[in-house]
Amino acid sequence: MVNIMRMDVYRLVHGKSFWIFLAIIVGTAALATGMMSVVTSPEFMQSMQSASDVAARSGFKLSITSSPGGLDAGDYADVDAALAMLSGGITQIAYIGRLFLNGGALTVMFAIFLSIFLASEFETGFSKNVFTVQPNRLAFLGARVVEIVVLAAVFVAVALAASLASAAVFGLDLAPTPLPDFLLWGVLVTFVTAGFGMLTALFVWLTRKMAVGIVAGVLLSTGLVTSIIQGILLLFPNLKHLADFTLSSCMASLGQGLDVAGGLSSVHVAVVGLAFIVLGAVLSAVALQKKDI
Amino acid sequence: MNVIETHGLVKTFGGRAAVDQFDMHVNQGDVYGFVGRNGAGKTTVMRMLAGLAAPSGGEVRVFGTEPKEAGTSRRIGTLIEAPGLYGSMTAYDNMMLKALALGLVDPKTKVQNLLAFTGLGAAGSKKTRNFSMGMKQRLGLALALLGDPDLLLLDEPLNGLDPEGAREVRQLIMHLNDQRGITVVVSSHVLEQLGKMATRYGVIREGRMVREMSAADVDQECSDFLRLDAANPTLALAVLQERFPALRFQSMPDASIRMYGSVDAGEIGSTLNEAGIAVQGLYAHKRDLEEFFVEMMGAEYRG
Repeated sequence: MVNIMRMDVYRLVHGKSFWIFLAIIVGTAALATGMMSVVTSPEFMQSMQSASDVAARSGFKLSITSSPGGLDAGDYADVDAALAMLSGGITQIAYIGRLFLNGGALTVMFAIFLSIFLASEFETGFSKNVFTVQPNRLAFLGARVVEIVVLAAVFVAVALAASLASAAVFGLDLAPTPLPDFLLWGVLVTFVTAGFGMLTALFVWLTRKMAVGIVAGVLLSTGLVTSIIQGILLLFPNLKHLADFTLSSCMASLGQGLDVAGGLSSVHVAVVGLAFIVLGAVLSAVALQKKDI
Repeated sequence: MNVIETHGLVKTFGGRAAVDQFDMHVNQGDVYGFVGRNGAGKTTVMRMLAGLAAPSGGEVRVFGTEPKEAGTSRRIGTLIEAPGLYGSMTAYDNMMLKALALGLVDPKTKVQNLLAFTGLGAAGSKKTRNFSMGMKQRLGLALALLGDPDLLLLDEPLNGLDPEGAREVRQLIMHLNDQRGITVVVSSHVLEQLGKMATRYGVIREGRMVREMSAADVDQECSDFLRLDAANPTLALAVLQERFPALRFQSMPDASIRMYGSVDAGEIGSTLNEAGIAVQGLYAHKRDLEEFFVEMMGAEYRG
């Protein structure tokens, strides 16, 4: 099992996909934070006003206000309130949640990366080398489960670091989150991300196809499957609460923050995340044991 | 000692038997030429021997245990179908991955030595997607040799190689067998090359073992023979067997008779003439290895 992990670490380090996906996370954080910084800057507001004045002089009216004469004090107040909501009063974890969790950006990237990493072994035929060296499929699976959790932690850590670093570079004012809460939140996001990863891995090991893993991973990570489940549960009001036991619901709650009003508790999220990791591992064990290489 | 032994091995795919009641015996030190047409079941057998596929029935023993036993699987080196390589990684990296999975001590040195041994020393830093088919086969062989296996399962290792490359790989296999005592099971359609290295043969047809024989048996069966077409082949065979007990006779599906051994065509003709059996044809024939195996792989064989 340890040797399989050593092999995979070598492949991660010497391959490209791992670094490309980490770069995409960093780039996403920088781009999104940079855009927010521009939108919330006084210079941007001033340039909008100037553009509006120039347009008005030429007989063309361009405005972001409902006032006939262009921006007035009331508009500035509205925009300030919106920007305060965007950045000023927002906590660090809620900000990261908006960048990477709501909408599933982080989990989608993780699912695509995992599909590539796990399926290429079968699509290239290198798995023949792996399984003659390690014929015990449960040992193989054990190594991969550990790796999926560790890789989820790496993706989450990079997303956190990139988001906070970008905010610092662009001067966004985020309300600090106490370190214990921040760490707990990071662990919970890791569990849920790893849960998505295990489900993606299950599809890869069932089909040995990269495309299937990517499609399944994206459908799960974006919450589409959960939306369908929620739609079905509307028909059964008594079972409505079951939707809270999906990974997407947990991630949506974490996207708002930790133990926020109306959200799911930390314990609930941890249990659901771990349950999906275990469920994915058990089903993967069956798939790996049954199928030939 | 049998390194490989299978009894009544069966593998079915969707109800169709790809391997059916297959018995195989490979001795320590053999270079076992595994011969069969495309789709005959060679690769499926190899995969079961390597522990990559589970038999649907029967028994397979490698080194006296199941191939999936951890101690056994590490003694097997495989090159089955195409060599599985990461095209975006270098030959050296591909080798390092397996070396790390094996937990080898000093993997870098082992990898470099094997790359040099297989003639890829200068191409180690090249991405394998840029390799020719021959280079990929060599790298596949190098991967199979990692961990110093005692048994090599090579499925079409000469595929894609030019005559010079095929000769080099054949010499490499013979060297491994001769110098390191590695038992080799090798399938190939290049029967000429196979004939130069195999010490034993197994012929598979439609998932069944048709026959296992030594290289000496094959040599003997490929030797010159007389072909006789007679009006009454059954009677002719009986007369000739009585008259020439030292000869070996083989009755063929097309009603002809083959006679092996030191035989004089004139004597045969006279004997049949005396017995009143009309001779329609009597001529000398020599079979090459390809003809010999093609006959066994395809037509009904009554050896």
